[in-house]
Amino acid sequence: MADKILSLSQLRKLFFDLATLMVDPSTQVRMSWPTGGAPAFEIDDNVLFIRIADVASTYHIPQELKYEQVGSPEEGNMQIHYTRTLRITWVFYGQNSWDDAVAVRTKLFYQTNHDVLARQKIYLVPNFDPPRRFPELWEGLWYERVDLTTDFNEKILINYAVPSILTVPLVVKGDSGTIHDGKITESTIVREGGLIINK
Amino acid sequence: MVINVSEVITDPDFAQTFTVYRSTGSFVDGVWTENTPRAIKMLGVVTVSSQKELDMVAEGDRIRGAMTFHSVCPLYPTRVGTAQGTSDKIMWRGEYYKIQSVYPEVDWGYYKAIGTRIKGA
Repeated sequence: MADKILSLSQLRKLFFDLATLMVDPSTQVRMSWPTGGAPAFEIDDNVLFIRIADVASTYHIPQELKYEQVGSPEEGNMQIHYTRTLRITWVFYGQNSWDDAVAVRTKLFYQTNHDVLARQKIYLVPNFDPPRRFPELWEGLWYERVDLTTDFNEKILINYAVPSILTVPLVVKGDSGTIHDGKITESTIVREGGLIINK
Repeated sequence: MVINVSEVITDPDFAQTFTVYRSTGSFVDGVWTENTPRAIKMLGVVTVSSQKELDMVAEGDRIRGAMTFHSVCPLYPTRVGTAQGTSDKIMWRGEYYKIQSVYPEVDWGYYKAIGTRIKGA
């Protein structure tokens, strides 16, 4: 089974697409922390900023390890299953900010939106705080701002090949000197100087 | 009527050339994406705003510094609206400086801007 873990850019795209399904069509959706900076917005613009982080939770510590032999020839593979808790902070600006925040709070529970996330093995933790309104003072004007913080559990699967012994160097020495100097492999039976080594 | 001092800005005894990279862009899937910046050759006076200074942080040494650029052509910080774009970046003596502040001195016939060095390693 292939690895199952979304990269940061994949998470950004996933939550960007989800956000556009939930907020007013006039609201722009952007990612916080643009690397080289980015233009901001005017007081009348409705903008939603998405912040993504990985946080501690009740479920983030337990890991399940599953060993199996895969491929031909068979090789050892270890599957690591664990839960990653993603904290998505939704920061709304503009005159629609309150309504947009209420919409996200409500629509996260819609079955269709649940299914968008479930396809990526991501599930909402439903006990989040309600949207918090605290306008910002900027250049003499109060900019409407509402924050909403939600957590999601993401099921992670990572595979790694378990190192195995393929060959073993073997030197056999008798009274008259070295009688064998070679390698033992999985399928080798050594017959040297009357010495027989079975697998 | 204020005195127009633009002659000083372009006086060969004071002026030197530098290149301004001006970019526009748009948000793609919520991520600011710049177009290829336009290179604009400018002539003006370049002075030190703050010297190169070493910050010793746990991960290594960081060097920061800033220069002041005077020009008879406009220099822009980040702007919103129809021609939205991020701050001009100025290439001067092999290093880039991102415009952090612009002084509205246009009545005197010139533009003054402070740029901080970017990629500050």
